[in-house]
Amino acid sequence: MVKLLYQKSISELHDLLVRSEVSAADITRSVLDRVDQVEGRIKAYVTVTAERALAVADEVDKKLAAGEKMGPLAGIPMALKDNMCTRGVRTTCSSRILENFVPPYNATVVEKLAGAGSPVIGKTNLDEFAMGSSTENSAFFTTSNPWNPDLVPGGSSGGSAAAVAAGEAIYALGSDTGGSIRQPASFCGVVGMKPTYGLVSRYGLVAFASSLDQIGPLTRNVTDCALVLQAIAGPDERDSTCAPGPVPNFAAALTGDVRGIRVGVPKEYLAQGVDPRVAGTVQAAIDLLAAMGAEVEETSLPHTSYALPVYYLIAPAEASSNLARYDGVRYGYRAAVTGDVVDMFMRTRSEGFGAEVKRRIMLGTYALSAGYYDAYYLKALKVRTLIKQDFDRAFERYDVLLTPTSPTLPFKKGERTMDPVAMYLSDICTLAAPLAGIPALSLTCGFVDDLPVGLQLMGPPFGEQTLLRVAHAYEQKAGHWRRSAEGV
Amino acid sequence: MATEYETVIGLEVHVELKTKSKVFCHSTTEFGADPNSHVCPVCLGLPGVLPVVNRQVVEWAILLGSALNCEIASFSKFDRKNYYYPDMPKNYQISQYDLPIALGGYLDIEVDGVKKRIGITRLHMEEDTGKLVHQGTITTTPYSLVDYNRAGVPLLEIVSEPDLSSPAEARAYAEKLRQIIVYTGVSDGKMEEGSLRCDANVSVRPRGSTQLGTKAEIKNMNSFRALQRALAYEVERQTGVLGEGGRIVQETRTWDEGQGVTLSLRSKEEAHDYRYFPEPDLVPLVIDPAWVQEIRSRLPELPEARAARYVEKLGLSAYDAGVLTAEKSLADYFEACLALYPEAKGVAKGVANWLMGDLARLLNAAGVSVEEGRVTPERLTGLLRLIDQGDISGKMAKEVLEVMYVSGLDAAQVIKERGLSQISDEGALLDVIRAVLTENEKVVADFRAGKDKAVGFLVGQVMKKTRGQANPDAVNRLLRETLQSDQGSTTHQ
Amino acid sequence: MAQSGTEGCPVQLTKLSNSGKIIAGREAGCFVMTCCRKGRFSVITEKDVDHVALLGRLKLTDEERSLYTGQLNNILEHFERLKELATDDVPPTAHVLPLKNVFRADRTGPDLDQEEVLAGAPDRDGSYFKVPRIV
Repeated sequence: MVKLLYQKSISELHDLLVRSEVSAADITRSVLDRVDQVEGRIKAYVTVTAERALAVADEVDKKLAAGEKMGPLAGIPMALKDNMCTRGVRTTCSSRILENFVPPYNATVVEKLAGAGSPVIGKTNLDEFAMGSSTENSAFFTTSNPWNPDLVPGGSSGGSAAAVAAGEAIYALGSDTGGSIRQPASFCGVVGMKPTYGLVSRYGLVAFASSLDQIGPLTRNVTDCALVLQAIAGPDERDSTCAPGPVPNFAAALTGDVRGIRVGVPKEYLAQGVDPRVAGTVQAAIDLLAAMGAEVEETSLPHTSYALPVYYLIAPAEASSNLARYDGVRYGYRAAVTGDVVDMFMRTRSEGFGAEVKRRIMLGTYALSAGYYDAYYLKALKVRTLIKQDFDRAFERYDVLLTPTSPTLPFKKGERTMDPVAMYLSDICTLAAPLAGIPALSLTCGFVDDLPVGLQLMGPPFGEQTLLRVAHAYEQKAGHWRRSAEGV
Repeated sequence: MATEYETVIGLEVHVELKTKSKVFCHSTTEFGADPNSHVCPVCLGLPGVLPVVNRQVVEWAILLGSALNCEIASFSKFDRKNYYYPDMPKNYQISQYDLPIALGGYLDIEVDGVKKRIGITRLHMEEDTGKLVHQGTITTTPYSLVDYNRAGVPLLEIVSEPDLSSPAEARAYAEKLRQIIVYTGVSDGKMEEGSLRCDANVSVRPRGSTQLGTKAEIKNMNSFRALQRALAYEVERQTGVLGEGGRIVQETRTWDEGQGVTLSLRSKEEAHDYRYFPEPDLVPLVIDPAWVQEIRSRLPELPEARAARYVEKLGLSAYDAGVLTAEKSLADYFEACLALYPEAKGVAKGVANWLMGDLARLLNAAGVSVEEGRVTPERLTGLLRLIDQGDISGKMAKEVLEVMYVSGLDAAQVIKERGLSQISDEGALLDVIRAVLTENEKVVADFRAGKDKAVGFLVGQVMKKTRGQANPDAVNRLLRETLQSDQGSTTHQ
Repeated sequence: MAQSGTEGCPVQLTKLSNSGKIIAGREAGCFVMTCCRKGRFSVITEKDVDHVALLGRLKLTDEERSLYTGQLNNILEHFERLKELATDDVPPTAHVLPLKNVFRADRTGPDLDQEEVLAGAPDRDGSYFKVPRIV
């Protein structure tokens, strides 16, 4: 019984805790044992913080013993993507340039979850500075997909997704800028959600693209996702772009009923470029939703194909500025030099950053540079408006929009590393939502060759309740969430 | 024939605001602490941090913009200015680019009696950088040290139109701007301390031409005097270069106070491409007219209006009004005195004279400002009262003031301690007068012979006998009366 | 026939606001677009890549320069499609949330300990960060 605790959901574990059938320490130890068992194969973690986790679990046990009422996340071990600042614990962004950086402060979400009593098992692997779609851009090592170790777990939150899928964490936090929570969720067969821009504070999230980044949950099922979202959402005076409250009750939205829900399926997302097996699996999900009483209809988001160039202009542009601070002066890696400070900057950054990061810095710098700002960056901001308007119009007619999460099944390690554009194309289904600032989640809708296929649902700004309702109802009816990777 | 050149100068002034906290975080702006001790994750630019705008900075920007007759933008935003320098924690500065908070203002200057209106192009908000410390000069030091205490301190940048036609005008503009800044209370405006910084863009062109010549940017002028000297040098340098058929290079030059020259700071890399783009971590500002009105209503009376009031309502000369309103603290002091002693005769002019004369002399000698000195308005008016009551002569009062200034005592205390009370008692004075007349028969005879000036000598003798404490007006009067009455009893020669 | 790219030359450019009003004048680098008629799309030359690398404080090896130039051209080719869209009357979206006027009060709060500030410093001198010479 104790051995299988790492397989359970948040609600199941909370139940056991409240009934004193297990202790928080039991749960954390179960997960840590699992880490010992599979981490050599999966390599989801950059840093494991076992002692800290057990200390938090002990605190929770004390409080429970004293009769204190604890929230649903108390004693539930989790993983944090290694681009969220944790005080006293190194935060590397899977980059050499921050390999030994130890923040003196906590991200807001970290403080919230600490307040909720959730032990942190460790910091998970990512594509360097969250730039990538496979976690292969990590400067340290590549994480494996728990369903098949030759395949990538997706990215950039590959470590977090793999940890949840492999039982190395009950839930995890990831960050999503162009699909970095949803796509790995799809590849790893878990639920992943990018909230509305501004629902969750970005304070303490190492910035990649400031107008797109959002922190979100990776969980085994939609109920767990709602519980985690509840704990991390809400206003933060340290983040000017964080929406003022109040935060609705997400769990209360999980009614199981989708009758009358209007579902739009934008045709552009099932057009050429999508693996027909993926399309077929998604179609089956559409059919099931219709059978459950939802009104499903084809629609169009005409500017969909422009999302890729718009994203790959805006995100690198903001990133080129956000990453300028890594210069070897105040923290992080510094190259050994005998020249002047410019020489030091250049060597430090060239030695400290990987190829994809450098590529995006140059691309972003180019897009902002004199003579090109109007043609590239400004143009992209304008087309972003058109993309957003597509969604605004769609949500006048539909409650949610439905698409595949990824155009393909999880791909092989090394398959796309030589061709940046091929890698960028993995994100074509997920890029638009951050551009419009809308919430989107991915959940498993079936399997092909024993590999999970992800279904993406998108909602209007602050439409998380509807999104979670539809996702939960479908998930319970279809039942795919029960199937997990081997040994989990 | 030699071409005559005219000068074109534009000034860029940076003002450090005296808010309690920095512009984008809650670190203190307090000056002078240990290096890197007034720093938080935000102003240090640690990974993951975000800025949040200090409302006071926006309000003061609107306040100063209003004082400078600017149009306050109804929509404004922040932008990132991207460049690398070790004193920049993020290697970008949060500033304002195309939608600054204030545009299109002016201020009036007067040089050699000629009034001129200088346009102000824009005023915007930005954050300050950290400070670099070098061993020796920036060009010879093997390494530099960085202190980020100043990083994130709020700045307002004020850019003038290139309307200034001489170094003297530039100085007048800078001084007037500083005066207005201090009046609004948003900054101490001290160039020597760095809370006011001036950079200049200077070019020359043939007289009458409408095209702008190539400009050089001049930095490192740390006083108004240095500003004027540096600009004068630069104008001469540029005129010289053009006169010899050369071309002016557009570059940044630094003023070397010691050598009295500007030196080129041309760096080896190409011109900056700041790649401005809207700051994604900060939301835009929508400034509604009611808010601007409310802030505008808080504007204190500005120097020009205050001086005009002194002339109209208090009967002071334009010159006196100008001197008194040059520093807000002096004008405040002046009015405090008036408020304390409204019933004095000829009070405004009287107080003004004391302030501009003796008190100013004492303060200037010590390099201290009127609010820092020990003679408070209460103490000064106390002294004036004693003069008017006749307890002390005007001449004595000057000495008393010096003692008050040094000791911080009241006038009454000083007079008592030093026994400087003025003798006005007629009986006592007559005794002394009699004695002096007796001792100086020849002078008395001179007086009777028609030499009126001899009275002065006799008055002086009375003053000497009383160690200066006799009331000179009374002495003069009584002496003449005594001489007249005595005359009656002597025979004419 | 291939036409080799001409080098960019600095040009005086005046930055305009959205309404066309001149706000600030400044110098800017200008790059001439190169069209290679061999059929391979080419907007960005190796010299451009050097310039952009300098702006981003990156030092490239010869192989990297060549590789990145090819890859960046590849990427930029996909952006050409944006020209198909008429956007003159479309406002840019810099912020997706309609938030405005988010402020904090002028109050001080706890600062970092001096040691915490300097703890990660790759090089320091007492309470200062130390960097190599600036010029």
